[in-house]
Amino acid sequence: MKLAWLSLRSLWNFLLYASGWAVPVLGIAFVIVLLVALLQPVAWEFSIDATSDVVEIALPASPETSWRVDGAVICQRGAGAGPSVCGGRRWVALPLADAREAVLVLGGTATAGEQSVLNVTVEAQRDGEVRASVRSAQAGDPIGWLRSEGSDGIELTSPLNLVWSQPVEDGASSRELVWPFSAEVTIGRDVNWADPRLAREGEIIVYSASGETASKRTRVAETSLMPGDQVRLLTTGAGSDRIWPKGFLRFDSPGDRSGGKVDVVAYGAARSVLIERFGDKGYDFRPGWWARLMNDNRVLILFAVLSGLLAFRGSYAEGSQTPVENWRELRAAWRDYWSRKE
Amino acid sequence: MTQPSPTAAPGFRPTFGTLVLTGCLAASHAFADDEALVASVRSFDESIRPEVSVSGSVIVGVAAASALSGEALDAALVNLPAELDTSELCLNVVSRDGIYYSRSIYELPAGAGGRAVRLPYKAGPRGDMPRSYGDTELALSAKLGSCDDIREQFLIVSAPGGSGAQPVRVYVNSFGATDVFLAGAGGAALGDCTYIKEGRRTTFDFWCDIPADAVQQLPAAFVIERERFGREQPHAEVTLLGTIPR
Repeated sequence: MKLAWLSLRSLWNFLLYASGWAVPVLGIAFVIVLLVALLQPVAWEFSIDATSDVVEIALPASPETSWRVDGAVICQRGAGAGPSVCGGRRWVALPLADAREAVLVLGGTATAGEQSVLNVTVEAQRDGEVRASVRSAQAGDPIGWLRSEGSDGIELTSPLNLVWSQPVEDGASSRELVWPFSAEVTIGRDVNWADPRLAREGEIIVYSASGETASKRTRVAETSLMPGDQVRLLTTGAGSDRIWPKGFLRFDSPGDRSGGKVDVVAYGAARSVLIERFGDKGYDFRPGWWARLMNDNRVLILFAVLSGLLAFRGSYAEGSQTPVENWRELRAAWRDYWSRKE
Repeated sequence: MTQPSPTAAPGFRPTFGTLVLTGCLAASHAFADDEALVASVRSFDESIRPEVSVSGSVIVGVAAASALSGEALDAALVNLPAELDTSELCLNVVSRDGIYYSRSIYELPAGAGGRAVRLPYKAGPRGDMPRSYGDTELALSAKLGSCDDIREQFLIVSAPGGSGAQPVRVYVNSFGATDVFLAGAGGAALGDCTYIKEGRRTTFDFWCDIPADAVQQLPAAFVIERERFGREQPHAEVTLLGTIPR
């Protein structure tokens, strides 16, 4: 019994002694992890949900992007007969009389080049009219196709305009269009007295990856957008590692002339998001150093272990024996036990 | 060797000296013809403020390819027309983000007609700020006469080092246009203007490059045409004055 007790006490003393060595080692490891967490660039997951009068999208030309364009008048450069929905003398409307399920297919053209980008601007007018423009770097560049039921498809070249100016009459709200994209996005426009179109409202939320939550991410910080803000979500990485933000546009203008607007939702990884605000140079919205530490599992785990170890030593380490003293006591007890048995 | 008689009529030495002196004068005169005159600063007004103000003008800046960045401010010059009806010159400098703005009024030196005149840029309290702007970030515009003159007649601001044949860049505030085009006075298309996609576009958002061969003879008039989703907006006419930057 005494031997068993001595063995347990030896083990206990050994643990106490080992913890004395572990504290400085873990402390150094904690400082290293802390520095890495603070200095290593972090790509946060940004999520933007906004309503705006104007949105600009920079689509990569290589993958195809398909959007329904029901109800739109689609205008290309050509010798126009005069004023029309398409505008002036430089534009003509494509023949889409009674076209159903018209789909605009952008990109996917090898001739555009891998690095080329299609710039799409969508504006909603207060009277309900919605307009979109598609531009490539050079006028005349092929940019995609227009496909519709019963049509072989019309090849499209830059520049291209789309105009929704008539309220839907058939009851079905075909003006509720959703345009998904994988592209860089700019929400809103610089405020100036000459152009009343701007971002109206929105919210930006920052997430960090987390394996502990059901959604696999943790909300870190958030901020609200004010009317007039201009926000951009850009790509990260370069070359084949380039990652494009994703999202979608939704036109909430089903013929109701109370005021058109564009809803936009976008997700992307970035170190920060620049919010340009009128009367201000703009600021980088990104989590601060405290949020970086609190969302780094390595820091939290090491901190917990170190704290526990220090508390453990503080409570029990006083009066403990060294391993050598432990060993001598245990050996003497074993010898005494075996000598008595013999 | 005998000395020449002091009473003798001027011989070789005075004549040689005269030739040398004449040659030096001729050389210095020729050098002065190539060297730019320097205008004197009558007033300098600088503003650095986040609450930007946007002028009502479509044309925001006119500069040669050698004077597109803020570094050109230290050596900016204009080539004046031969006939001058004013001795005043107004130089506006505005950044694309609208934060920096300055207005300088210069007094042109006498006899500046047809000459290159350097415009010394006075360094304000934030002298480094305008010089930190790069290409497509700063617009310079120089006009003869009062700064309040609303006529769209500009001198071409340039900087030494550029070749004689340089394109001239016009910075445009499109007021929400989707397309901007450059045309000659007769309507001949000179090309599409370029939309500025990055950064803030508070004071201008397009730039148009006038080809070098279109500005070989000044004055020259051009038209900035704007469209908004196909709908034509009012044109802006711009006239370039002066002589070709050398």
